[in-house]
Amino acid sequence: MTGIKIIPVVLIGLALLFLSGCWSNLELENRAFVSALGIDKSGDKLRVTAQLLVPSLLGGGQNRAMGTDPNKKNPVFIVETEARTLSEAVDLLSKESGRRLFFPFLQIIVVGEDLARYSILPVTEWVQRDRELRLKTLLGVAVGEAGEVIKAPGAGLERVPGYFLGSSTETANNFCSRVVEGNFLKFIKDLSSRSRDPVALRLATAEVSDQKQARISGSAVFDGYRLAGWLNDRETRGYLWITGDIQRGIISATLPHGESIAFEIRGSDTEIKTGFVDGEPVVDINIVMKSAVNEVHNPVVSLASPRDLDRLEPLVERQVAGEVHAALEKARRLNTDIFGFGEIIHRQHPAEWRRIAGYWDEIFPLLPVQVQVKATIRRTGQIGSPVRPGKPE
Amino acid sequence: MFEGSKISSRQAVFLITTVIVPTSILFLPHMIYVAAKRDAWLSVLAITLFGLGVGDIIGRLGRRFPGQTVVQYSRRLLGPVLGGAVGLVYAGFFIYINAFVVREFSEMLVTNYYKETPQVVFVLGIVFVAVYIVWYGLEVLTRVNDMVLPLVLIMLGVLLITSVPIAEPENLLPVLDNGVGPVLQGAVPAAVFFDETVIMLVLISNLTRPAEARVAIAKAVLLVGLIQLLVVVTVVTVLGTLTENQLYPTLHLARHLRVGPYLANVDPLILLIWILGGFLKVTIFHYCATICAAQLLGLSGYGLVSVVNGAILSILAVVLWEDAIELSYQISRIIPPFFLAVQAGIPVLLLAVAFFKRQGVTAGDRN
Repeated sequence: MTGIKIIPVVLIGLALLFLSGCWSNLELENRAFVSALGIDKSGDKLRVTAQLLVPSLLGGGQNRAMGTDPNKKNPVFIVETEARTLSEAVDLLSKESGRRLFFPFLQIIVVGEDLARYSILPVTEWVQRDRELRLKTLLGVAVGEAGEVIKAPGAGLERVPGYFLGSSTETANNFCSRVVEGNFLKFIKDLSSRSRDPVALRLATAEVSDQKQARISGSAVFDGYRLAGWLNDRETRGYLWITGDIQRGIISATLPHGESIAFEIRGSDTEIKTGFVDGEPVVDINIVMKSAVNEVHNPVVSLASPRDLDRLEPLVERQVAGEVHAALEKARRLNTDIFGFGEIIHRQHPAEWRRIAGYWDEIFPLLPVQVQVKATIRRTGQIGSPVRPGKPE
Repeated sequence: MFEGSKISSRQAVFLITTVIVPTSILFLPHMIYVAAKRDAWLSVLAITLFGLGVGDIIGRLGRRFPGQTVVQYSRRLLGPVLGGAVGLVYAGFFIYINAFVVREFSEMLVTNYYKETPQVVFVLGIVFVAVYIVWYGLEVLTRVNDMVLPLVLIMLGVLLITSVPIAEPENLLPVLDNGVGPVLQGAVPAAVFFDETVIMLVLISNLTRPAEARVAIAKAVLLVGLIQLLVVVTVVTVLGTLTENQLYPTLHLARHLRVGPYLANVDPLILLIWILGGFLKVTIFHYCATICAAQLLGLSGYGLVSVVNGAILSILAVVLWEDAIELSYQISRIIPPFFLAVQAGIPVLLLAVAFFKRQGVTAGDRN
């Protein structure tokens, strides 16, 4: 009987030896949480600026969400290192911070303008190859130095500047359709596509309530690995119309007498058709959108009958078409097919694409693009026509 | 019949599925995509057809010799020398292919999750479990599989369903842009996976109704083909061109899934599928290798053979390949013709010999 029980007892005893922890465990207090990372070119080397969370300053309390408590320090610690490769620089960060870096909370990687104009390859390489990084991390390009963006202490309503950039992008994506998707997944997908050029977020710093703060404004257009130029806010919106990524948002347009009117976007659908005329490719963009009147600056405008709404539709349509043309114009000037027109031609006309693929760079800037916008206005909010003064003028 | 266990046809379907699915969902999308690009799903259809053909031959062969494994009837068909050689080939083949699987298993874990754990820990861990289960026979193995496979399939289903919202079907267009050539090229390394029905050369001897072997194999190949088709379509529609330079695209897919604010970071699911399915796959191959070796040596028991085989397997898994790239290079470029010869070529020859020598039971054909 004892003979049978010896083996289980020994096994259980052995198991106890391993209960103290996992093989390569690393306690929370020995890790440094990275919230944002900036990468600049500095001569032949790469300079990495990391924004690390300081857990003791992050702790609970009433003011957790509000970064306005004057007694609380900014709960981040900035470290900078320089090395020839990105991995080495990140390695050195551990030495500078005294802790092993931990990336799952990384919100955004910001690349300096100089490095972006030179080549973004080191960044995509590192992000793809490393097992701890996720491709859902955002990619931004700083106007000027990425280090400046990372060091800017302003954090909006968040406590951590990096988190502000993350939430700002997400909100802008979902509720006002002003910024591109901006993550590495999309970027690398477009980069590896045969004809589509990738787009990233554009970041700049500005003075916000007495603090320098990083903010997203527009987008950065790449030609392969290199930064080719920028899209401003209006062009970014145009880009989103073409790629069909507009969700919600407001469009301001001009009434016939010069006053302003605002429309709310209530969903849109973009269809791109390609074809060939005399052997040359042509592109038709059809945008169908639903909208509502949100604000009218002229009391005389009547919103009483369906006909009144019909009359307003061209105003939205013209505005949207204007944004789309602005984006098209900029993309043509930079000669970057950020909309993936080439890819769509490839899909819709594989045989013809084979013929023109080699000359796509020469064709794209001169590509004829027809833009058709069909807007329908369904609602006018809680009131019909604007309120008019009761007393006679 | 050598080892007394009996399994039903349904259980055989489950075993075949477990042998193919876990590794193929992880490695195949990349392997096929490299050659076939967005037509990868057509390659899957092609290999499913091919797998059906090979499976049918194996089924016919097994039905002619109920209760016997390939080691036994190849002797009867080809005589002691040539037949013995065939038995040796299979005993060696099952260990060799298993060494690949064990190494893939540990390589995947080390690359993606356990960077600092020595490889040998995973190799020994999985081989130990395999030896332990085989010690208790096929019936135990089969019952474990009956519990685990449904779990694996449910987890895979969750993964696929949650990817639907981020899929971009246009990634599949244009179809057949570069003709049929690349599609077939992509199918070649994948065929090795789909011909792992070769385990039935051994397992048919344990079927309660050997006559149903052909149907069981066909069902299993169709099931696996369907699963693989869904996985490849999902990976390509979600990741698009990214599939090409990701070594483990399915894992990547899992890492990026996010369903609203509720469900995120589902990649541990892949890890679970991989560990549960991977260990059963290794165990099944180990069982086949052990039975083949024991019968070849004319032993009446196989427990000791299982242990010795396990030791050989562990050593091979560690020493055969220098690094991960060598491993995947061999699997996709060098090995396929040799494996296909063993998985499909030899069974065709054996069946031809049996047919012309009028050997084995042919009653099933007449009834």
